[in-house]
Amino acid sequence: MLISIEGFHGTSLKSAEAILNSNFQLSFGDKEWLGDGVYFFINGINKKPEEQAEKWAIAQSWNNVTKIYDFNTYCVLKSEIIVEENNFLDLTSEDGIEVFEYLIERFEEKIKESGKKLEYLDGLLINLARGEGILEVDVVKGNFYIKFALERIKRLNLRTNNCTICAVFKPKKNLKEIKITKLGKIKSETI
Amino acid sequence: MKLSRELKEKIDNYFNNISTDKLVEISLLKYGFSESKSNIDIENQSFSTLKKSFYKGNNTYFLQDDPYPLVA
Repeated sequence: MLISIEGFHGTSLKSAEAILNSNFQLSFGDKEWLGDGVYFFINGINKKPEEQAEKWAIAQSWNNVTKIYDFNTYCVLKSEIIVEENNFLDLTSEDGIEVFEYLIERFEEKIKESGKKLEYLDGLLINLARGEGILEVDVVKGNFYIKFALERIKRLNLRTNNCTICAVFKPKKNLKEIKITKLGKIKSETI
Repeated sequence: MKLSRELKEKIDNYFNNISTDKLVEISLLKYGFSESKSNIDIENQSFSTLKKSFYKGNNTYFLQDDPYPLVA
């Protein structure tokens, strides 16, 4: 059975142009979340994923080292994510968590035999499971706490999830109808 | 995705057939895992009592034995 999800990706206008020309090949995200994929905000625990993608683009524009904005025109890309149910790991569901927990259990058992202790991160485990052919995952869905501009400015570091996101590992296969839905200028008062 | 019998067997098959050394090697070098910095190794992880640190308000701390067993 095919699953269809509407996803929103916030980025700079320059990156958006490159993404549209390369079908997201240039926009792989943080491996520590859900692995090396292209990330989308989707409808889930927050019902305004497009707004979250916009807020993410604005937050990402700020360079905390140079203290200036890396870009001042942002945009939101919308895409339909289409994935076979058997290749979709939903970590917001009991079924998905059961798969993930079993993977961790077997991994941890084996690592323990070496006498070493590793730092486990969701994204690294997903990368390993995909890379070694253990799980045939094309898309992973999860709930996360993501810091946007206000959370960063106010140094809020909560544990309560505020976003549902999807990581897409094979953009050419799983993304359809990518288009720009929002374009904006970043001003200090935006944040 | 569900943990079907076939998927469980596939996961088992991978971990049953890879050596421990190889798994550690690829975890660290290929997938970017890092070794835990904690040196604490607790063999028996059940405790009958718990030490707590209380803040008294005068900037001094003291330890007190909690007489209640820790609920697991």
